[in-house]
Amino acid sequence: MEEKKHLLDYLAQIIQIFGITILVITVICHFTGDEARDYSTMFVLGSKGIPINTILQFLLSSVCVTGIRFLFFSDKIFKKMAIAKRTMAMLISVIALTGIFAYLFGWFPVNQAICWISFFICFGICFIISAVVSYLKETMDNKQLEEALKRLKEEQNGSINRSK
Amino acid sequence: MQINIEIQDDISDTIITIKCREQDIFIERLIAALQIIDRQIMVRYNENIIALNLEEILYIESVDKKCFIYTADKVYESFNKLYELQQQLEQYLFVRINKSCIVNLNNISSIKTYIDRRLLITLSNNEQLIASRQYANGIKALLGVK
Repeated sequence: MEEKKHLLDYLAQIIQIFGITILVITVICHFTGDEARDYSTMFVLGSKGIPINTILQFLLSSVCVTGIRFLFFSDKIFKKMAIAKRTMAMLISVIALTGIFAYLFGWFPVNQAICWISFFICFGICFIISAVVSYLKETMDNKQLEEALKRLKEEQNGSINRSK
Repeated sequence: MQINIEIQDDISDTIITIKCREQDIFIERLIAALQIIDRQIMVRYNENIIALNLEEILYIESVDKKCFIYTADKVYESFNKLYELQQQLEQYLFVRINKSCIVNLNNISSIKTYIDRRLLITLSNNEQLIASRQYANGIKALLGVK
């Protein structure tokens, strides 16, 4: 049952990453598709849409990114690793994976520095946004947990005093 | 087993007397259950059997089919199995956090979210334990957090 739940969690995560990637690329495609048509296989159809090949490539990359996340963020392989090190290792792995995919699938010309700079800018922005969102969510969750723990202890102490 | 109850107006505290042929495992368990009601637990420490107050317990861990009870400065051995202690102690805010561990929520200084939807629990002595994903949802439900 627990394994089934894990599998569903991974599938949900793959679909999440895949969905967000497609959404972002669709927006980029709408605005710059025609201009980027000659540089990237992602935009061969111009601003009309994303080719099926590219969609499948994104699905594959989502599976790989989820695999990398599983590798570094579950204690199955790396038992004792600081969160900062895990994040850094994941970041490097995802950049390397994207580089490999870009080269294999012609997402952008890998021999042009400007393309890499653009990639790092986009990746950096996405990473900062997701880090900020994660931090805010974590802070909120932790605050909620702290308050709930405090409330539960107070309730328990109250019931002890009443029963004495 | 015969149970006799004598109600007397002149006694200030309840006295339970057990009459038995020998102090066997059944009697030990009976005493353990009575002690828990009185917020104490029978434990073994250096070959001595003593009653430990529940509020002193930080956490209980099962290692190699034996149950050990951790306080701020000592480790005691329990006579009960982990699942038995879980059932007996859950009313006193003791909660299972992973396959081998029960924590006294009264002695937790903080709970924080941890990687892979687990929880990082810091005890009052600054020792840290991790609640597995399987039990994290139960802890959140107990705390009233979705």
